[in-house]
Amino acid sequence: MSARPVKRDDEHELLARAREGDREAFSVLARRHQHQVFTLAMRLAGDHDLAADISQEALLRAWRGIGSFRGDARFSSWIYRITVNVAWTQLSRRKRTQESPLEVVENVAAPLSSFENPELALESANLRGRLRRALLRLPQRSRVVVVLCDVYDWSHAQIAESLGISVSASKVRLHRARKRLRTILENSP
Amino acid sequence: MRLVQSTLCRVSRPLVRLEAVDQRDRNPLVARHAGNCLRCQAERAIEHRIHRTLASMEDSLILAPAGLIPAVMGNLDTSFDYPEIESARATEKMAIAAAVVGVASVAAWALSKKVRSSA
Repeated sequence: MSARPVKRDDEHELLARAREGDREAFSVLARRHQHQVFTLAMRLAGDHDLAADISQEALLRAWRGIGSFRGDARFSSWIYRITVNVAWTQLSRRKRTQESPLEVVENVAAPLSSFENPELALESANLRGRLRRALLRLPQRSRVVVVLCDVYDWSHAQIAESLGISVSASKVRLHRARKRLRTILENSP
Repeated sequence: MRLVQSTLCRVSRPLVRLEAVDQRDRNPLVARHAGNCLRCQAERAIEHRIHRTLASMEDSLILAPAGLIPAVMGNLDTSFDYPEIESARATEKMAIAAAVVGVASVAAWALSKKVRSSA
C-alpha cells in the first residue's frame, strides 16, 4: 500500500487512509490507542496474557471492520466497543475466575490534580490499590459490569448491547457487584 | 426510640448507598433521616469515595506490551483464530487425556494385583 508520510495529529485523515487500506495509517492509529485498549482489556480480564490476546484480536478486528466505521462516534469509543465484545467472548469461552497479579504490572498514573494535596493523593492511591485488588476478586461477569459502568461510565443500554443482556439484567448485575465489591473491601486490609 | 432509630438506619442504608452512587432523586424520608444520622452520612461519604476512585481509574493507563503492535501489524492478513490459544487448549486437552489414562492404568494395575493376591 501507499507509504505517504503520516501527520500524527490528524485522526480523520488517518481514518480515511486506513479505510482505503493504508496499513501505515492504521499502524499509527493502533499505536495511539494501544494502551487504552490494553488497559480496558486488562481491567476486564484481570490477566496480562489474556489481555494481550484480547487487545491483539480487538485491533485486528478494528482493521477488518474499519471500512464500516462511519465516524459518527469517536474512534476510541468504537475500538472500546470492539474490545469489550472480544473480551466478553474470550472470557465466556475461558470462564476463568482465578485472581491474577494485576497490581504487579499496572503502571498507575494518578491524575495531576491529586498531587496538589499529597495526603489526599496517598489516601486515594491506597484506596485505588485496594479497589484494584477487590475488582480482581469479583467474578468476571460482575467485574465487567462494574468496570464498564463505574470506571468507563457506560450506560446500562450500552453495556446491555455489548454484552447481549437486557438493561435490567445489567442493572441487577451492577447492584450485586457493587454490594460484593463493598464486602470485599470491608474484609480486606 | 433508639430501636426505631437503628431500624430506620438499617432500612435507609441501602438507599443511602444507591443515592450516593446513582445520584437519583432523593427519597425525602431517607434524606431527612440521613441528614440527622452520622452513620448514614459516613456511609454516603464512603460510597462517594469508592465511586469517585473507580471513576478516576479511567485516567490511569496500563502500558501495553511492546510486542503488541508488531504482532497486530504482522497478522493483518491472517485469520484471527488465535493459534496460541488453540494450541494452549489442545495442550490442556492432551494433558487431561494423559492424566485420565495414567489414573486408569494405575487403577487397573492395583485391581489386577488385588485379584491375583486374593486368588
